[in-house]
Amino acid sequence: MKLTTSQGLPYPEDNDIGNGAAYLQALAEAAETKLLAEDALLDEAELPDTLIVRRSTAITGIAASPGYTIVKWDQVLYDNKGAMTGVTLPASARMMRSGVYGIGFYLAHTVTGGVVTNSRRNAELSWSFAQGPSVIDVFDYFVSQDVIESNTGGEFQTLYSTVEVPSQITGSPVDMMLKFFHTNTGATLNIGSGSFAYYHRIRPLEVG
Amino acid sequence: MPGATPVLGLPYPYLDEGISDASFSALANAVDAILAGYATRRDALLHRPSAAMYGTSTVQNTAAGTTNNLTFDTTVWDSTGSMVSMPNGITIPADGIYFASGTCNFDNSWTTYTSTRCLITQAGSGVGSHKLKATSFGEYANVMVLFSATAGQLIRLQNVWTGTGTVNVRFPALNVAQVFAF
Repeated sequence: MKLTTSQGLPYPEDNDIGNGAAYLQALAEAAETKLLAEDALLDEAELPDTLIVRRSTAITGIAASPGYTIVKWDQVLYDNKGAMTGVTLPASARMMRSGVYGIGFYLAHTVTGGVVTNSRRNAELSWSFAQGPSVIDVFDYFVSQDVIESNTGGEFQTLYSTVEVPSQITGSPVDMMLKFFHTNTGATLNIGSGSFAYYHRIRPLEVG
Repeated sequence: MPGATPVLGLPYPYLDEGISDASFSALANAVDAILAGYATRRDALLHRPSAAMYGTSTVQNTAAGTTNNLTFDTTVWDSTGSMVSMPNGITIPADGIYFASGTCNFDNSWTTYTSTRCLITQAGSGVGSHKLKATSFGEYANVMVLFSATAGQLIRLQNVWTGTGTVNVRFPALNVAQVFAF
């Protein structure tokens, strides 16, 4: 019995003695194994990990920095891999696998009180994970940030960035965090309902 | 009665059953049909629909305090040949998850100027926007969103600004790309 060079499919050699039916069965079974593997890869490409989460109710009373507010989401709009299954809402968006992701958000916010000239509103994307069997360390990695100047009326921000979630954390969920802070002292900010965040997995890692 | 593999049903003769050219052709044709299906799926993955359009010569004078639909005059690309709906926007070709981005460039032709906002709408409803406080220069507002969409929905770019006079919008751009189909 010999094997094809690329996929290892079996076939009889010239001088093989045996049952032709057995050779065909071996070829059919080997072909099925290879075809099912290809099918799984196509499935993966056709339905990449994707999550869209939003606020159905506003977050009110965000005071001026120091410090920031982690925007947590109370509604799952789309989740094709069950990333938020079992997660108590509100929560940050959760990633379950390593890979290269596109991540982003849309934030709508208003001010309660006066607008302070030259004050700003920052929305920052990062990802973090906890590690350690007994002592939990939390690692937090900055991705990107959008800053706008405070103004009257509603404010609206969007941001999109790609990020690599490394293989070392596979098996430990990763939080995609949105941190919000502002310097509009003497007033509070409200993050409005309809704000949302999302990710989509672009590709697995090259190695690992 | 031939046997078959358990999942895909690839046929083979049972042990001690006589084999013939029909045994080979049955297996070959079964594999061929499956590979043809894979090729169709692969081609769809490699050609996910996307389109982009922008405005070149058009300077759009938009009024303050109202929602203004921006229009376009140039197709950058249109992978299906039917997504660009000139001059209004891009039509979703199939149900799925899509990524859209838009750019609104505003020059400083206003009399007084407070803020400007660039929006992407989906079938007439806002799906994402970016608002900037006025500066003495032109503004470049970019908006980008991921969203679930159904076939036939029109994606548009809009602007809203506050102040007096008019604002000239130059070179508006809109891009829509399917992330995956449902």
